[in-house]
Amino acid sequence: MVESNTWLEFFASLILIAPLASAMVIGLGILSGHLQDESSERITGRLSTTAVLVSLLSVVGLLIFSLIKPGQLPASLTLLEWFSSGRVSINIAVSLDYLALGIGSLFALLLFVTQRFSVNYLHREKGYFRFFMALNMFTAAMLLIVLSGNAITAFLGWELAGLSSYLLIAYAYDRPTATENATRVFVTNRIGDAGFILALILGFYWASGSDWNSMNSELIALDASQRFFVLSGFILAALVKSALFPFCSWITRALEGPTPSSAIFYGSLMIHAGIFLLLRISPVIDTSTAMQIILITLGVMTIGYGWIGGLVQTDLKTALIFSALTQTGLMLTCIGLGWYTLATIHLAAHASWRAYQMLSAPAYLTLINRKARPIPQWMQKQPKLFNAALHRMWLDNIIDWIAVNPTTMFAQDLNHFDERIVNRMVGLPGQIDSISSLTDYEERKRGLVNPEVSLIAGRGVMGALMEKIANGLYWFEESLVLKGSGDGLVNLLHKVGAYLIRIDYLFSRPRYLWLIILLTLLVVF
Amino acid sequence: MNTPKSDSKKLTIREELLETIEHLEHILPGQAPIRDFVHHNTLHGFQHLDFTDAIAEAYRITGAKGFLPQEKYREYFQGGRINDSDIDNVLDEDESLSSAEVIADIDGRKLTKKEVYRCGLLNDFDSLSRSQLHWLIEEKNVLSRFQQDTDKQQRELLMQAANKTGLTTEAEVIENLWSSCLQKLNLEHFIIHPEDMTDLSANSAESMINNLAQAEQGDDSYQVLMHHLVRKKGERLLSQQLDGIGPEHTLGEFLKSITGEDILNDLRPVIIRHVGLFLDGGMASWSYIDRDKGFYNTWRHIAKHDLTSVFEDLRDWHDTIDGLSDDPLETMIFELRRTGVPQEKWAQYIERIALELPGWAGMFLWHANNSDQPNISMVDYLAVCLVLERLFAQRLCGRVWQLEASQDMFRWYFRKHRSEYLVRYALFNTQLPEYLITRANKLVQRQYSNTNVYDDWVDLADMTWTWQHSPAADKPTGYSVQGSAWSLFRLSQQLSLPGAFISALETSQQEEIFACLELAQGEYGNYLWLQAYERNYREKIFNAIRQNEGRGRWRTRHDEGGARASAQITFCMDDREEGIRRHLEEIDPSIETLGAAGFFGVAVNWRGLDDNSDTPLCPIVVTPVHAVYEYAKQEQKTVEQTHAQRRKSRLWIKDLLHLESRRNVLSTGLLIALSAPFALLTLVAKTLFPGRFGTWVQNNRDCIDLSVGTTVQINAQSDEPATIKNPRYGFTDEEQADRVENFLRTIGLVSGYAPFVIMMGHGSSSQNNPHMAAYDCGACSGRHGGPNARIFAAMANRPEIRKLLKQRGLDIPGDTVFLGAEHNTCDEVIEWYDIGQLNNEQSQNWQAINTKLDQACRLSAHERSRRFMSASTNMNNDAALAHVIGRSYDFSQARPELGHATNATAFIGRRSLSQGAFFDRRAFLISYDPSIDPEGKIIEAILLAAGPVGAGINLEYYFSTVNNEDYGCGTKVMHNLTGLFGVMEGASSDLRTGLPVQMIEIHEAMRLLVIVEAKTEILGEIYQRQPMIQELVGNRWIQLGAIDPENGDISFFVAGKGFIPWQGSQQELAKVTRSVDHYRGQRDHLPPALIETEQSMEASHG
Repeated sequence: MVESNTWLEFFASLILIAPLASAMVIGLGILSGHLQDESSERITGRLSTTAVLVSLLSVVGLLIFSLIKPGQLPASLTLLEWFSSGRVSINIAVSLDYLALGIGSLFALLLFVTQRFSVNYLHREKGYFRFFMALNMFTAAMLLIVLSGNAITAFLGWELAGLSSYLLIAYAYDRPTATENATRVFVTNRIGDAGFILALILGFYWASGSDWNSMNSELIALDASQRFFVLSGFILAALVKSALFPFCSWITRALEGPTPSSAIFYGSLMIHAGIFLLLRISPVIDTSTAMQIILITLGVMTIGYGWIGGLVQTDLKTALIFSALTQTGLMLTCIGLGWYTLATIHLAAHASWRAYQMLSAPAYLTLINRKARPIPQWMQKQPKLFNAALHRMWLDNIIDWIAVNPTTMFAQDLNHFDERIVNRMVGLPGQIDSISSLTDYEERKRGLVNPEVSLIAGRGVMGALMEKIANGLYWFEESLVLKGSGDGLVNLLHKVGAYLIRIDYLFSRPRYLWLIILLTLLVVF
Repeated sequence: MNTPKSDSKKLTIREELLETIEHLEHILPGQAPIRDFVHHNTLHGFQHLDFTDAIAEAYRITGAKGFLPQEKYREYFQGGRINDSDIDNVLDEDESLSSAEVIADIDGRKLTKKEVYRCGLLNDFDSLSRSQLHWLIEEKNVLSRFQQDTDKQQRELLMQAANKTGLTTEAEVIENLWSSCLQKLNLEHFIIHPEDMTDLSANSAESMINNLAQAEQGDDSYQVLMHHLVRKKGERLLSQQLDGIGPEHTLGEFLKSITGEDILNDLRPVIIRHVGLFLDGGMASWSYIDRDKGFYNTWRHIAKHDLTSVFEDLRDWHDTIDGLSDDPLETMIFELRRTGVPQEKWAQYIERIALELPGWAGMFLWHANNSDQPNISMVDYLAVCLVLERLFAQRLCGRVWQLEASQDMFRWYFRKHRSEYLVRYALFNTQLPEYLITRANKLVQRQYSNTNVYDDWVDLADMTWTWQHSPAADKPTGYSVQGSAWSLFRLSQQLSLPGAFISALETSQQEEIFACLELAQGEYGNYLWLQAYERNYREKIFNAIRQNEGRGRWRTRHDEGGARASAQITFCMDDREEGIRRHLEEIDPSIETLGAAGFFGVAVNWRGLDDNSDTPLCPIVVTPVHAVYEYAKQEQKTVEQTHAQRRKSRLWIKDLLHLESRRNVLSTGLLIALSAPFALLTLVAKTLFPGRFGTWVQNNRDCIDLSVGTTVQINAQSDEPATIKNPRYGFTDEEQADRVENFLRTIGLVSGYAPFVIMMGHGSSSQNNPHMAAYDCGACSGRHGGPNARIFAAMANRPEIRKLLKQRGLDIPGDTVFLGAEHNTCDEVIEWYDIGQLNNEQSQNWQAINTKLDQACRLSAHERSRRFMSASTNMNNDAALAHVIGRSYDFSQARPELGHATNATAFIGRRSLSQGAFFDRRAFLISYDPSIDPEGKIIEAILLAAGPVGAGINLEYYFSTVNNEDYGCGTKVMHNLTGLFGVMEGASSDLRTGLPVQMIEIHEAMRLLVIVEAKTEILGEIYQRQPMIQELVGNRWIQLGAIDPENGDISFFVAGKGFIPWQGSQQELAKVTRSVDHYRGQRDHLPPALIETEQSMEASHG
């Protein structure tokens, strides 16, 4: 038994280590300049494909073993204890149940096929090596999500998948649209990650179980509101990752990368990651009717979005993605209804078919012999619905409002805070000797005060406070210590007035309102 | 009521606008929907101009460059692809350069213009940045050592020359040279400490102020003086930029230059979604509402309900939409007025608007001009773009300045806020040091009001100005240390000119040196490089033709001992067929091959047995007036029914899978669940064994579909005249005889007919390839040419036609049979038509020929494989064939075949000209016999037909190669099929036109070298007569050479001079017994070689 367990551990680790190692080798090759021209394509392609093949064979081997000898495999296998403290312990563990092994085998197969496809398809591309590095990373990430024994390692996979997706959307980094979209997608995905982290933290706080099964049962044991919060976190993560309503809009921005990466990320594999997560925590969902109703509603909304939006799409990749959304919407609805097996089967079928369809997308002209079947006449003539379809229900704008804009502006504010307050407090050296303009020079020669140093303009309550202190010190230093005279007082009053205006302005912005509401909520619970 | 006067005035505005819109055809890409991709000159709209002028004009309008960058040519020079004599020759022959002129003669050193040109071409004289120069000085000691790229010989010469003035060491010589250069150009050079580059020190401020005060005397307050200068600069820059709205940029681009925000980012998706759906060829289920009413009016109707205005904060959306006129032209005028573009710049402004999304605008225009759908008009597109552009510009202006988006408002506002303008412009368009960027960004992002705000702009403008005038900044104009002085310094070393020489230069001489250098480094230098590049290849081709003189077979059909050819096979003129023809002739010298445009003179609307509609099979410029259909043979009627039924069901299932699997919800789910296992299996099989799986599927499909014996219906039922409006089924006997006669005379096949005369059309099959049509037969509008070959053979075999032909002097023996076939250039399979008509003996003979063709196909596959990195260079013929078959079935293959890549030359003449030599599949081969064409009628027709086809293919490859970003469509890897008519990159880019990188990566971008076997007098007369030839040849879009049919003299056409005899040096060529000996193990382009098969040795000795 011990003997066989060692073998098991070996194979199970191989599934993840092979692609990770290959990604690392390619990455080092790129960095060291060894992989850069056509002559190293062959070795890169081989290395990468072999790594995925090793994963594929290992996971299929485990699946076959578990089918031949049912009950012999443990449901989950700890490979490594990562961290242990008191009642909390975090392990690197893999699940070996049918769900994990079945979906894992299918995904590994699709990943392998895509690797093979890409070897020819990306021949002579500038980004050949980058592409394969990211693809290997994604292979490890996807298999980690599926096979992970607990939420923590799943989250690692989750993040790794997001990172590799970012790298591949920005594959053509010389095109501004591609990089901008990559960043947008990345930022939007942070919302889901926040949900995941929230769920993890609360989960740890309220329940200590580390693998899926024990975590699920401990969560079920919690009281309803606590359970609701943990679930919300996971569901938020799932909604964003699988581009379910209301987070559908990012996925069409993600189609900037090469065809094979679009195929597996957004058509076939990553789009199912969220659904898979929900399947993992399905026993908990089962216990919350409110959540089920929410899931059904969101599922139906996703279907509506995908279907109506899909009717007006004229570019193939987007059209296929919209269709994929209707199907993930269906899966979500199934989960809401408690039909987990159906959702699982649908997931597997959809992943296979969509991979095929996306990979043969360039051949579409020769694959079809007629035009798409038109929609009913009554619907055809509805300008309002038509607009909604054409502009994808304006979800992109709405998400901008809710999430992206506040995030970027908040980041800006932090930046201001950093450079105006923190930098000053830490005391970065200024250029004492240098002057900025001839006017400046002249004024200095005449012995006038330096015109207003524009370093001082912070935001937020704390910001203003810090500023005042900083400013006071500055003024003290400037007027009393250096010059020994006090003609800065009027200026000081001026500035105070200006700050008050600014603080007032800041509070009129929604992002701080949001922040305050959020903080209040967190404190209350 | 309008007075007649105002009415007529208004009419002219409208007319002018319409004229402008019509003119757009010249500047927008003219590519048809991708299914009908046909090669054409990318700059066809500029073809009336000289080649270089056209490129310059296109650059001016679209900003796209039309030559390879010079570094690329320098690489070719290093690699030996261009040599010294090519450059010398080009410099000598271009009279406008006056290369021989001596610029300066000092101390016995004569400096000619040619030396400077040459040096300018071969070396990079780009100016450095100040910090780069300092780095070179500090780290590389460039001021005391020779430049690394200076030859040993030049170094010695320079040292010798400098010795005369008493300088001995290297350091002395170089230092002296540097100081001479600086002195000559009146420059001072002092090294600035790196820290001073980020800001100004008090010392340098002091010296700047002194300089300024000297320059502008009379005012001793620096502050006043500087403000004056800053304001003056702001004024000048502002009016320059505002005047540029129209000729140089749109309102949106102007705003981008001062806010850093591109309204196109928000605008683009809106336009693309509307236009995409409006033009959609069947991708979407929901077609544009009321498409028949025209784009503008429908859009207006839809936009009323658009909530984008709410979400995008477009406040006057509804007012604008409601107030729009019914007439799009009126709207254009209104919008143009409202944005304040002066009327004389409207035409340019409209061009700019159309060029914001050239691909989409071009596709719209193509539909407006060519589609049979009603009510598509370019005015609609432009009106909508103008309205949207203004609305989005309005939003941006409103947010930043609370201003109306119009030129007048900008003028008014920025006159009062010049400092703000200067700072904004400097931030977004020039290089600033970090300390300025940070401050400028803060000001630009500041949204809340503050009493002192404007002073900040003023301060920052002063700072920026000061920095820009401080020694730390790089100045783009005038003589500068790191620009002109550095160039002169480098040039002197390259040309071994000592410091004394430089010091002795007069101002005019010094200016002349810079002028020559600038010319060589500029666009004209690129053209000189191109000519050198072309000359190198041309010399090799001319040399090969000279060496091959008298060796090639089939100069005449009679004096070869009366032996009759065993078969005459006419291939398409396509460069890809050169290989298979050569191999076939090597295998069996008794086979004669010919070449002609692959529609064989038969322009038809074709409908095959399985087709639902007619397809025109002829060059794109011809509209067929005849239709030919394929029918099942009488005895096959029942088979046909089964076939049709089965095929229909098969396609029904296929459509169901591919269309319905992305349209519905529940049924789609079900469909996916059912088909997923098969999809998975297919996916695995296709990726692991593409070739075997593909053939297996193909065989099964043929089995299920059943093959049906068919005939083509070529005979007309009546002899009513056929017209475009009223096409006729079939041809009358007379028409058939005309076509056969014309074609045979064109290719010179008027006697000595072989037992088999075979017409070999061609096509290409591949998977996963939106650009499929670009690989097919260009003479058949991007379709397969097999049906034309079949129709031609059917005509020529009819006894009635033979009789008519005999009357016309074409005596075709009774035992000669015509056959049609099609060669697949991708998987090298030949499909034969109507073989059943052969009798037993013929059938056996045909078998023998077919076997040889089969061998030739394998060899052709073998030769092609040397270009594929995934094929090993030492594979055998069978493996090569398997490789190309695998490729054609491989859906992961972005390069199923390489198309016309490497095409470079065209021979029009007898096969004897080129037969027996290896031309690396780079030559279009067109058969023409000058001996039966004393007046040049036939060659005139050939030039008119083949000239534009060849030039079109070649120039499309040229432009897609030299500038794939602008003229090509980038890499296939990112392509996304759109509307069934084009490809985008990603999901919301412009439509990409031209060729993908995968098609051009091994192409050598040169203009087509057309070599005609004809008397130069005859060609001269044709040139005088035919404006189209004048355009192509006179404007230098192609190169023209001539070979005298009698004495074999070669001459080359030079525009403005006529034919100049070729006197190039003759070089021995490699001699091999088979092509394979020449190319084995080679991946790159190969020079011509002579092939000495045993037979040809005999022929040349006998």
